[in-house]
Amino acid sequence: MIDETSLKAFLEDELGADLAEVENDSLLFSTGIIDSFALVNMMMFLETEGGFRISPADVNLENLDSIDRILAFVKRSKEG
Amino acid sequence: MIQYEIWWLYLIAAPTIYWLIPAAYRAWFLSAISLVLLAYFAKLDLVLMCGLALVVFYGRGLDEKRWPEWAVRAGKSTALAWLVFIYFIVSKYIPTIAKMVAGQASFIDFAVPLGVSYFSFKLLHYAIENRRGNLPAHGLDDFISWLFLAPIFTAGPIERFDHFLHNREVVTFKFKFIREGVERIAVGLVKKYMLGMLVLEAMQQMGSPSIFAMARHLDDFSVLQIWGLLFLSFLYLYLDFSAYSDIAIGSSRLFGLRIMENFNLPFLATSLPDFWQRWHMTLAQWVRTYIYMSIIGLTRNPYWAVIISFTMMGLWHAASPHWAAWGMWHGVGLAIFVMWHRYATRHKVRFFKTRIGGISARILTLSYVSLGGAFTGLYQHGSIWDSFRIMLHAFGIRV
Repeated sequence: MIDETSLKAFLEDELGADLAEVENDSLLFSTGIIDSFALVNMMMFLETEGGFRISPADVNLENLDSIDRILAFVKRSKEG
Repeated sequence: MIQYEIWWLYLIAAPTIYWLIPAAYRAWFLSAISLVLLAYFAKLDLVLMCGLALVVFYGRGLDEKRWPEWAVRAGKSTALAWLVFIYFIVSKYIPTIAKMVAGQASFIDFAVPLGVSYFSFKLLHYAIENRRGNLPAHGLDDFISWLFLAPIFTAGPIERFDHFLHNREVVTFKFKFIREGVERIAVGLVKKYMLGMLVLEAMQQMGSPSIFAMARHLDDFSVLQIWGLLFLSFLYLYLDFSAYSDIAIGSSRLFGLRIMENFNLPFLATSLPDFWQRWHMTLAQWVRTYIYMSIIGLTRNPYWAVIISFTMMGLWHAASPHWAAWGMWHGVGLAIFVMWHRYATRHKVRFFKTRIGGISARILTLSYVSLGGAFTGLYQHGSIWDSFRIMLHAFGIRV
């Protein structure tokens, strides 16, 4: 089950940083808050916990660059 | 283009007429006047670019009753993006490769089209985002006035289409457009023709007017001189390139347009990732969005993704081993930085968060970036081996 709490907990653990001040619409990757390793690990976390496969075409900033975008993407992927 | 009188004539006449005609015709006028100016420099290349632009613009919405099924299907697929990509590869690299293989007597006797790199990356962005359904409603006049906007056509920034549409004020004239535009153009001119000249003079004082002139007599230069010239060369490149961006952004402002920023004090970068948030920002964003993320999706390997992305970014500048090596230099540097950063985070290394650590990080970043200039500084003027010689000499290793 992926929700805001579990996603933030994963990212905090992955980055070793406090995300309390990061807004849900803050850009994470394109502003350097999360690095490329964290991005790949996050994709694997989404696949494992969400039970779906992320296709290469879906790996883009529109889907993965903020908490809001990631949660919306997870919702769409599980519905689809 | 700024070396030509016609450019300055354009800059005075075009905004004047633009603001005098009704708002509904301004995007059409901007399209037309940009094409007229570019035709003065580009001629036949421009015809092909216009044709390609129209195919991409109309390709996605072909009427099923009037067009064959394959064409309609192709228009909705990734075919349009591939078409732009093939155009970019052929027009950018074939002339260079033909010359490398056959020399000046090559049967392929044409030059790389004016502005092809910026044009192709903007059009690729459009084709991809249009297919994804991410673009706001727009007309042909909006599209052409953005794609062929003369001030940014040859040296960027790589303006995103959605940013262009959301940040233009074309209905009501405001005096601040002229004030902001002229101020920004003036900043660019001061950078290029005053500060840039001062830096060149300083390089001359240090013993060489350029990196490639230094490479010819490398044994005569001390380690300190080599580093000094590498730093100054980078400073000159920054002043020259960012001056073009200033002039492009300021000129666009005269038409009520607000173009994306391209530089943000790159000398203050505390790391390579930070540097690429400050240097040629629009290209870095483009590469991150369309190359880096695609490779991550395919390989799930951040090392490959960053090294391949930056090598391709290098080749975007020119089909040359120097630019490929420069890209690889940055890609490898970024991969090493990310590894270090994760190690430092996990082991709570605090040195670079202290004041002295911050200064060290800035010096280290600037040194790494300036050292990479040994590749680009010898483009068309020396071999890759000469570049490596400069790098080794910079550390006192004389080979």
